[in-house]
Amino acid sequence: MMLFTGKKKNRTLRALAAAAFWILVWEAAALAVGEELILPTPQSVLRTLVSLCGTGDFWVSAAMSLARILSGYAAGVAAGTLLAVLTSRFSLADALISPVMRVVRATPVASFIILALLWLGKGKVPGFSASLMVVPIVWGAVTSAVRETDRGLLEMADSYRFGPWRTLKLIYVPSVYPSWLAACVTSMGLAWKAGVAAEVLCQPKTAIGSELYFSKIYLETPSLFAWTAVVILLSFLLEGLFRRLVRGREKP
Amino acid sequence: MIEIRGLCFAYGGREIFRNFSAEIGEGVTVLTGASGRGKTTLLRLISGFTRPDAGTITGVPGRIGYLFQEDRLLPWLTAEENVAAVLPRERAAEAGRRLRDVELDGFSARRPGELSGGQRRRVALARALAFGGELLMLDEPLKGLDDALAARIVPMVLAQGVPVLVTSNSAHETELWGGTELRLG
Repeated sequence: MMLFTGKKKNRTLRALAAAAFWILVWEAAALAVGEELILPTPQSVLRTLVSLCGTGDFWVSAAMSLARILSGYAAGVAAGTLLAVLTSRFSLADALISPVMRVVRATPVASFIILALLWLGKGKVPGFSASLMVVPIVWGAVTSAVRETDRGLLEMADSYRFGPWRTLKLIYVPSVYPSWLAACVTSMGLAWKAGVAAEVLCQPKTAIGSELYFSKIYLETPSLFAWTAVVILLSFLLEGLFRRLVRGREKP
Repeated sequence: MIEIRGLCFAYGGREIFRNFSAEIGEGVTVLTGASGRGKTTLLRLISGFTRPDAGTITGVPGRIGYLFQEDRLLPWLTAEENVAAVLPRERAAEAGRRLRDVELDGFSARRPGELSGGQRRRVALARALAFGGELLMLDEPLKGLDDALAARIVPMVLAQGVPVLVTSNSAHETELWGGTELRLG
């Protein structure tokens, strides 16, 4: 049975070859340094990762981080979309919301995390930080897409008396959907990274970020690498799942 | 009857109408004239999408089946869905018949991107006819249609039994439509 065909096979082989190359570079660098505390070997990190996977705490931490950050992400998508609708519909909302979004975009995520630590409980900071990464991206994409909606189609809708609901359903939603989807995919990776960074800074009870922090505190470099690998793998997994979920739904 | 009195309109520094007056009665009125003489602009002024600089337009019916110069089809909907979009839910099934009227049987499930220019034009025309109204305003409805097809489409449009205001770019089309010619420029 052929597992891969044509271009897909080539792409997979190229990706595997690239991964193998960088693992070899890592191995060579680790051997050259010769100090596990500074740069562990790939085998050592893999061993740590395998042993971590055998513990219940690992899965609980991963699940809790995912739940916290994904709920923040979903809230961010919803808030960004809602604010974009308000911005596009009401000039007063535009005047009030646009400068706030510019400020949120320009503010370092670490500042928000520290402020959120003062305002919210530890467990809520990662989700809050993740949502703050998402809101301006989704807001910007949706606002621009609404503004760029084909005027000719809107005039046609007016001429044929579509009314607000039909105009929204048949013109605005399909026009905005591709930009909204692209913004959701782009912001997912950013939300994940910001959420983990927030966990590192605020150390909730069970979290990937807390494990990263404690690995650093106790100078367990292989564990630090292993948890980082978990963050990267989960990021790839989330993005892949999301792309699969929306594949074939470029139009609503 | 639509009455146009003292119409003035300039666009991009170019005067298109200066103190223009006309009456558009029942039946078919064909707007003719060279490109850029204001045929499309006059339709837009009558429909209210463009405001005149001066003058008045009275007697415009409330409901107009307007075929725009561009097709303005929704690219994410099929031909049938595009026509059904202008119909109330209870009359949505009528869309298929409207497409058959413009000889597009078998194309109802295709999206605009999968149709030729002439086919898209007919979908847009079917949509305008489905919407109906007390006046049909058709901007270049025969664009992209061959002579034989145009000769079959025109009587079908006229059979709707409402006043038609149509733009034409050729003597042949003007002849097909018949009615009163209103020459601009």
